[in-house]
Amino acid sequence: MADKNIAKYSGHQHFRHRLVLSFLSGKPVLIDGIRSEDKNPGLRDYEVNVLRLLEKITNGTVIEIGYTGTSILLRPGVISGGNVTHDCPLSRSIGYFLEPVIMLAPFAKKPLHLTIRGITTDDRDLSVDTLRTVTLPHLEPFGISDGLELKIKKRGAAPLGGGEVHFLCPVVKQVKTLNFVDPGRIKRIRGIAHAVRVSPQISNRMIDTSRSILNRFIPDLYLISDVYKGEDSGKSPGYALSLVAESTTGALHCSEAVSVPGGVPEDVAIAASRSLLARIKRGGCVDRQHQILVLLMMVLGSEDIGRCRMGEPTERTVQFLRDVRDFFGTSFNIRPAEPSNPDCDEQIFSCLGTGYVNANRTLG
Amino acid sequence: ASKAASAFDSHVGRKRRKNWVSLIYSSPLTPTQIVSGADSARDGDDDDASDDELFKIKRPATLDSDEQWDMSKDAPDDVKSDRWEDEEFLDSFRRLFITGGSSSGQ
Repeated sequence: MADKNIAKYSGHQHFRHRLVLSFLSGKPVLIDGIRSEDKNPGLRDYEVNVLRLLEKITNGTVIEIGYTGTSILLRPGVISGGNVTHDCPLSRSIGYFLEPVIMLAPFAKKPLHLTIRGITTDDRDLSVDTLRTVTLPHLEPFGISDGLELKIKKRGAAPLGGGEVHFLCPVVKQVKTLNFVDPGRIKRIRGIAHAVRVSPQISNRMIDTSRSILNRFIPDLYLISDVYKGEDSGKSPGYALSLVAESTTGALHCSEAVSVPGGVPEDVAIAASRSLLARIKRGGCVDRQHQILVLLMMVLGSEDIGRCRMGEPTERTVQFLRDVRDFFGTSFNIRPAEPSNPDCDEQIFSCLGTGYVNANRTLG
Repeated sequence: ASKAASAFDSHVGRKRRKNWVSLIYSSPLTPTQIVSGADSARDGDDDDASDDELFKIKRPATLDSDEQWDMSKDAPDDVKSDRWEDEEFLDSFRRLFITGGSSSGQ
């Protein structure tokens, strides 16, 4: 294949979304300079592992890793789906590995049934609770909902993990165009508190504290304590609180806080609750951490103008928008949502969908 | 006169606001610089200081501890500050909830 058809990048940042874009566009990607200045150069174990996972859910993918591990060339194959089992290393939580899979799975040949094991909640990546209650609902407006499911079979806190999650994803022919510009107002807040291998009373302490902060804003506040016992609670002790706020138009905002050694559950609850309020305040129709997912689906949408109102783009989003242009040639128009209101940082993102059709899907 | 003043205000407001399209697609700034609002003018500063040295340190060796992680969660919001105890601050976003009434802004 001609050299000009390869997308080239440098550095280890934004690794996963570049792989995803490569698979979806069919364009090979070359990434070099991966931590070449570092004392410990090259790919990390979790990056190699995510490559291995993507190799499992695809067919015909060729991955060449350079001798020093500081460069990789990926020639994407067909996204195949099917039944897959995967073990994650303990350096990152399941969220890190599941995120690129969620972006690819709807465009597979067969519905994906992924069994994935590892750490279910940590402070770097989206926890399985957030993935279930926030990430998957973000796909619904695009017509990906029937049979979309995440089952938390076992929990596993850091550092030893031991959790297990089942991810089921249907295949779609084409995604719908998004037109989501009314953020609405927050009508309810839901939360899940869980505590594994520690006193179950900790969940209740988190719920009480969180309730005392959030109740002044909304009466429709329902926080549950999710109990996992014995084998199902993993190998390490830990607890966390994840919250999600839903607006009248279905906009979701989420936050989460995880236990730290020597901390108290009240601090975890305060961090999660205040963080949720801070994110509601930033506004928009889409949770900050899900900007990339929504923008990707907008790019893949039918050949029509998709529009979405969001808060200010994050650093990841900025780079993602640049990379999308490299792979698909799509650039977004971004303009202030309320030009007359100088205090409003929200933006309207709009783009023309590429009319991506899932050619892998088996007919009938 | 008041019309002119309001036109001026809106113009100033527009000036202050970032033009995301040109920042993202036609500026050489890194995403970090764009989001934090740093301007490109500051880049050249420390170049002349090391001019007379034979070897230049390209970049301080990055330690493992301060490596930038490719992570999906946002940096934690500032949840420790005193403003969270401030009733007025808390009330300032009541309008975002259905219970907030339509008095402010709407």
